[in-house]
Amino acid sequence: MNNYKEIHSGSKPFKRAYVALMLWFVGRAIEAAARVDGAVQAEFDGLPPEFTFSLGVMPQGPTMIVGKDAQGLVKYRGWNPEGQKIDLKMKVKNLEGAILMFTFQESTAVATARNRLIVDGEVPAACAIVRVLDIVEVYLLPKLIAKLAVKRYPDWSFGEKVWNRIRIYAGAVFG
Amino acid sequence: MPGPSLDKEETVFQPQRAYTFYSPTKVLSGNKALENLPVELDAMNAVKPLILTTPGLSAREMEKVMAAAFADSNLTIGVFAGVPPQPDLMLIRELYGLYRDNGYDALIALGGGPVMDTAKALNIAVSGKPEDLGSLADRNPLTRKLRPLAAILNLDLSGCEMTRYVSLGSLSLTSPALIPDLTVIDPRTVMAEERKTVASTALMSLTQAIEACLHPERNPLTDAYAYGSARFIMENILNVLRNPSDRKGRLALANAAFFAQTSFDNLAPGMVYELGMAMSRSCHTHPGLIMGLLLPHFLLLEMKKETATRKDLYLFIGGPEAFAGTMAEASFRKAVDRIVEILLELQSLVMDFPRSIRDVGIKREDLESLVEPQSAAGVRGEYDPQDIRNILEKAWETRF
Repeated sequence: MNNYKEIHSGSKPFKRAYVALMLWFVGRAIEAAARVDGAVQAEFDGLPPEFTFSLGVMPQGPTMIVGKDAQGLVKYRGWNPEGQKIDLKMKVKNLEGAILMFTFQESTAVATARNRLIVDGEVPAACAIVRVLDIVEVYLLPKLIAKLAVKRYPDWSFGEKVWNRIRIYAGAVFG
Repeated sequence: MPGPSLDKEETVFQPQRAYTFYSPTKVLSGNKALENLPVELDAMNAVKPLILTTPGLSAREMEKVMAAAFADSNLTIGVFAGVPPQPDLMLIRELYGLYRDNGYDALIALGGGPVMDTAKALNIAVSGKPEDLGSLADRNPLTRKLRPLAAILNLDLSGCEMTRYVSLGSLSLTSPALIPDLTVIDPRTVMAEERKTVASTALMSLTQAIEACLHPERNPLTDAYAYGSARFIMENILNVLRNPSDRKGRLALANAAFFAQTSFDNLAPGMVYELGMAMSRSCHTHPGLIMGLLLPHFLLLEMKKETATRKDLYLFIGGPEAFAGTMAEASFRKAVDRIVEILLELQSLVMDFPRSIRDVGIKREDLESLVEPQSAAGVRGEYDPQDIRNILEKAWETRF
């Protein structure tokens, strides 16, 4: 038949790699922030024991998994959900949606409002994780960019913010 | 000129009477909306869609846009870019074979008018058998659920894309099951079209919205959709024509078309719509242009009636601030004047925009045949022949 062809969907390796890198770094930064920042620790304390969540991109990743261990310590648990009991799955519907989020063109709250995320789990837990992500983004990003990425930029003292930022960066990079 | 009778009880979104409203489509609108298609199709158990489009849209590299939207989804998609302006049953049979032989399980219509008609008709065939088309034409209702159908809208629309109606040559089909499951309105597919095409589509949507808001069987939901459509059009049409790169405006007009069609689909077609379609069949002009030229005359006729006119039409046309600043008695007339102003602006912005129905090739002697419901050219639906005659004669005599 004329005017007919089949197209195999290609891939976007650079965008995938960027999102994978961001998820890896944010995952490790959450672990570090839980040790450094009282608000992040309080959010995790409010979640059930050994609570684990994943944030990933549909249909085939990348993904990051973060959870509390038996002692209540927050740990980054890698990218592979296989064999892990995950209480809350947050999935971005497609890679482009993840790019919008991780290039900070859209905050997590805006992305949720624009239906770019699917949440499989308890809504209060999802809200807590969105608040944690907001706090971590404030630490990781310069104010100019972080203001785009979070719902409300917090009014923290400069010294406290810089000192915590150094500790979180160090924790994320060196573990 | 006497004003409309004013009824203090008549307010917008009044929870009057019993009503039903049906709109089964899920709308994905805005930046990167196309990228949601793989996930949405997956949710409907579809993994191999066939895209239908026209050679014209294919030449504008729409296939690349679609391929990029499906990238990383691991899916294989088929593209048929040969939908002609007048699709027929022969094409449906050929596409039926193509769909079945290659294992497709969903349809995506990229473009309006003939593409949507083809997709809807093909969906009936592939969800059962091609003979179901004839059965539906004989008024036997569809008994099975159809395969997933997604509509990707642009600004070259026929007015029926999101409705239950299909027109395929001499075949006219109607079933609520034909309404697409998904509607995608993405800035990359709502491209800058020729100004005349954009104006025609917008006037068609405006007509559908206004006739819905004046319809005797209107309900709160048809009102809400008609209001959204009318506001989007009135706020964006001139901007989009002056500046075709206005992505936000184009997106608003495509949304307006969806709103208007959904409202229209829940009510019987109005007189101006039917007249526009009937005249368009004989003079081969986009019906939206004709509807735009008839609309002020229809509204003036409505205004003279003692009943049936709503006093808040200007809220739809002029917006809340203009409406609030206008005396109730003058409100309806202001709505008509505003539409005439828009038509005059369109004439200055769009080359070859007709100033009268005479300019689109309608002959005076043809007018009477439009009034006859039994004639081939006649208006479908039940209207007062004198009303139709009045509107046509006024429209014939008037040059905007």
